[in-house]
Amino acid sequence: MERIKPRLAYLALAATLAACARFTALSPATWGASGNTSQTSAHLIPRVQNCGVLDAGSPSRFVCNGKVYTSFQLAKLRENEAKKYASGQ
Amino acid sequence: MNSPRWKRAVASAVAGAMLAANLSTLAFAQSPSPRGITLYEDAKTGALYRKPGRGRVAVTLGFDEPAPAPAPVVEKQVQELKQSNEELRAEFDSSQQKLLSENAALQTRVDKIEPAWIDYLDNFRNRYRVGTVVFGGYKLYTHTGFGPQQYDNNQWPGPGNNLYNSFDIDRAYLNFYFFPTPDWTLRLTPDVYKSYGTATPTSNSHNSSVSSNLAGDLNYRIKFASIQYNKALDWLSDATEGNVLQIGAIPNPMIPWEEHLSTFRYVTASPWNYLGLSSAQFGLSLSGPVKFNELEYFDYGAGVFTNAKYSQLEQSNTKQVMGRISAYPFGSKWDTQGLGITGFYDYGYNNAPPDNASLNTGFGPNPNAFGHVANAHLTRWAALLHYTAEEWGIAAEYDQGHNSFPGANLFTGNGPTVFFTPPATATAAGGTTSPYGVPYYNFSAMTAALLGNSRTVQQGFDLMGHVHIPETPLRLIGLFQWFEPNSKVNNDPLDFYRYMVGVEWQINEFVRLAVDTQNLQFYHDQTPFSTTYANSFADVFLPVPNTKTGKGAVFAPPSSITDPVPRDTHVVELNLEFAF
Repeated sequence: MERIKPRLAYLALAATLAACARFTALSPATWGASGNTSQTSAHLIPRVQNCGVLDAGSPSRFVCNGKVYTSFQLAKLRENEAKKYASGQ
Repeated sequence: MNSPRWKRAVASAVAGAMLAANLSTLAFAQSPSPRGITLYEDAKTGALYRKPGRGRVAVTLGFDEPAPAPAPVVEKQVQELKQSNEELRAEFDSSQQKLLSENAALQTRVDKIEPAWIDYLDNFRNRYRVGTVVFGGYKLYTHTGFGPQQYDNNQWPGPGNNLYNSFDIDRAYLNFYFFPTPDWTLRLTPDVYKSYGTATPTSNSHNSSVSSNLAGDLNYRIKFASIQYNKALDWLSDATEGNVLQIGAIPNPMIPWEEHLSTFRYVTASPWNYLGLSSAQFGLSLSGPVKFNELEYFDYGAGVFTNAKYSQLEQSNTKQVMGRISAYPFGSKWDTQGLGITGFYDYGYNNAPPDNASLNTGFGPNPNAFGHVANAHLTRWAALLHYTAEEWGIAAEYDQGHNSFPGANLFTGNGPTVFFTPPATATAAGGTTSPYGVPYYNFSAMTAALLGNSRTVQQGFDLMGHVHIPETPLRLIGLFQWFEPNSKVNNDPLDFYRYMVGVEWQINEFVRLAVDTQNLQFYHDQTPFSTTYANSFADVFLPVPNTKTGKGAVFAPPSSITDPVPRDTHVVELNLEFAF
């Protein structure tokens, strides 16, 4: 029994460190994309100026935080955000 | 006198009696007795008489009012009548409500009834897409020289026209996509082009010509017109889902892919595109990704195409084959993400009619200098190492070709007039003046000798990339291309490099603007180039008969070409892209 207790303590310590390591590995820019915060919430919606250009066409495509968007999708997100801001929500 | 009086008295009495009787009858009619009128019926004949008599029976005619009912019965009848009225009213109200309800339902149904054309448009709307891609801008040529065009519709005047500047529409796609079913896609893309040329008949084979239809302004032509099957290899495995089969005027496997890789097609052309390989030909191709576990490990394109590009008439009886394969050893999450290795190969022929194959071609006084070059094959290949992230990308490319860069490709931007149309005296018949004294003729003949023969080898190296400036809508973009048009030539005056550097502003989802400088530099020193050495590639510097002096006199070619290196071209540009 006395041998088991140190092992449990080590396991608990390892789990704590692993959790901390995962938390610190997430940069603020990825919090929104990781699921806790919606992509469409304030300040975290993808802006075309910060996205990578994939293809210029009909429509153009961009990649933002690992997700591919068309130009129309990005424009709609931006416009919806502007409407929310204008209505004070 | 007494007798008439008597008669008149009797007559008056009778008339009064009759009138009285009539008045009594009228009185009955006006106000009938509660019991009606009593007459007397003859029992035998049934005749009615006013007065009783023998055999007559009294008959009372008229209202036979019942005797007054007792009060409870009347009240009951009144109650029944009221109840009946209320029931009728309730029934009426119910019917009214039902009618109103039915009217509302009917109105709703009528409102929902849509004309057939709306249904048609709804179906149509889900099965087509319309867009446009427009490149335009302003170009200031601080220094003008000969050289390849930056891309289509980009020509400028040659040396001596410094500070030439222009506003241009370089591309104006109208993209129409139709999706009748998920399996099939039809694409139609007209594009603007700037027509050049004099309105003279154009030879389309050794023995035939076609009249010119050049208008000299911006015209529209079909850039892409293709039918695409979107499930070409779905039957093979999950890994090849989404591979497409295309037929028509279609993008080739290399140029559009590399334009995606570089991301700034609206600013300048990709390396092989700059060297003359168009982005579209008529043909048949298969392309698509190969995915495992949602990661793309390969991306390929392969097909058979015309030797002519999309805007040319196919004249050959051969075709070219092209293939590209890109490998992503760590798997790509989107497009070209991550580390990639790409190889491209193209094997084709000059776009020449079959009956030209047996004919020699040449330049100036030697019409046979190049031999059967019209029948020669050409190759292009490229090897790329590239890495793409969201915020930046870089690609290094090595190119090699065979007979893929004749003088006509070097001068797609503009070239010496005497290259396209040598002086009249530059023939085996000669003339009264020397062609070797015509400006740019020696340079043109040298270019033809070095690039026009069928044994040329091309070699090049390219570097291109882009990087986003954090917290800004700006990106830095750049491209460097070094190229040897014929690597077999020592100190080739035509060796060049070009570079583009600029800043790109992503204004919104649909518009980009770039400020950049583009430069073409022939980097060798102006060392005189030996005509004897030039003749070792193609014998174009020959003595030309001097018909003025006669007696076997000739105009001898120069021993060397002075100033064989073309002038550089430097441009400051403002490029705009609108993609919708």
